[in-house]
Amino acid sequence: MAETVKLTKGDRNLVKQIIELGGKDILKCLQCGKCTAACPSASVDAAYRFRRLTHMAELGLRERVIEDPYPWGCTLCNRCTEFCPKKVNTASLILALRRFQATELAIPMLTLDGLMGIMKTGHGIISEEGKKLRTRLGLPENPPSAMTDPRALEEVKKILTRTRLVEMGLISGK
Amino acid sequence: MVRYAFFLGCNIPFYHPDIEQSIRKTLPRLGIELEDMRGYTCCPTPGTLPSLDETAWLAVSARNISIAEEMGLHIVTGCNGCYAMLNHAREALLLEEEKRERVNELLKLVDREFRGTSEILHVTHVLHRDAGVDKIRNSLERTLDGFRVAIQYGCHQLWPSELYGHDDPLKPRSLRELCEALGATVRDYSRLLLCCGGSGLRGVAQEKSYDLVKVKLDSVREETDAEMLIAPCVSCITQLDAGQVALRKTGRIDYSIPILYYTQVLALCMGIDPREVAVVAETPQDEIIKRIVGNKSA
Repeated sequence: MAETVKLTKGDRNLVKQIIELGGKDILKCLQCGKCTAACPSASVDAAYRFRRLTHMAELGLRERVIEDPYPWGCTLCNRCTEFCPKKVNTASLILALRRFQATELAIPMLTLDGLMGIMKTGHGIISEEGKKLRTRLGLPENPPSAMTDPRALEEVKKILTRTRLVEMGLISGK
Repeated sequence: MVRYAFFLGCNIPFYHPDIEQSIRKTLPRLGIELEDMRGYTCCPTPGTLPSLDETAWLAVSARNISIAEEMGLHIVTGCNGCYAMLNHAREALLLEEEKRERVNELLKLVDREFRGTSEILHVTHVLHRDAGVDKIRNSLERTLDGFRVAIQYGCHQLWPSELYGHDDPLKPRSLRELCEALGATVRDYSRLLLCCGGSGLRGVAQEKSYDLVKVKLDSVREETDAEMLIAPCVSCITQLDAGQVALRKTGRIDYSIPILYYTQVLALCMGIDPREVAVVAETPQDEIIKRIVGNKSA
């Protein structure tokens, strides 16, 4: 039997939570669908539907929003922002939806690797092979970043240990 | 002479240091001086901090921007991704006082402040605006006369145009004009503005992201006689390069189109040794480089 969704029973706090995570523009959405029409990800997978996702959020369908594959399949190309008649800042809304999913621990491995990389070296990604190549090209082995500047790396750690990342259990508070 | 704080990011220095070298070697010859941003970090890339906590993202971006502000310089970056994320962060911090205050409280702990005085620009943007096509044309030792090229801007320097605003969002001209300044014939193709799939999508659904690569490259292949692609985005280059290798392996395409970053081609035309500026690629590019290097003098 098809699933029956009682819209009146949707989670009223869901939109509030998404707004708190930086997605206030969800309130501007008219459900016109220009975003999905313009979306490159939607053109290769029918599961990626931005308009539908914002609709589900507005209806308070918490589980559906947690499980939706779109936020992480978005390339943040902002073509939708360009065409949105209400000037929704879709990049900020998509990121807020990712943060919402992240609070439910739906986080891709690449994201956790990137976070650890930033804490350890200041870089989301690095490559040992790249270092060799740099030397071969006559560049210093490392770029002039926090990687070779312990004081700069300490600054970043100091900042990040005072954010919600600690509360989320993603980094240590020390 | 103009001077910029040079934001390298992660992808270019670690995966395409040849592109880094091509930027460092070409811009100064056109009167654009680059000064390194000591102690910078990841911009941060959208798949990391921005997807986990807004304040963490804005604070790390603001810290990066504050380095340039201390230097008293605007920022130039060669990476479309860094260009986008730093601009998004700067916009949020300028428009929303509450966020700016929260971020500056964190920056205060490390004796820094975001003031909003440094703009974030792209390498091809400053080449087009500050150097200009005539100066570029006059700097060449050899040209791309007789070469047919297709171009790829990359989404993250076009949209939202209200934020970036240096080119027409649907009929961009800057990269075309930069390529024409080298003497190349730029061919139009219908999927010019299609995303390469290289950002978030590649990370979670590589196969699907390669569907976009195929649509784009098929369009170049079927609608034009272009011999190569030229792009100003390292993510597009990585995606279109690795993507076509994968598509060839699975028999979904049977052609090969080399793809180079704009300043790599510019460097070759300025007479710089290809072994310094164009060495990383999975798609064979030796032949096109050899032909460029062997092309007649400007």
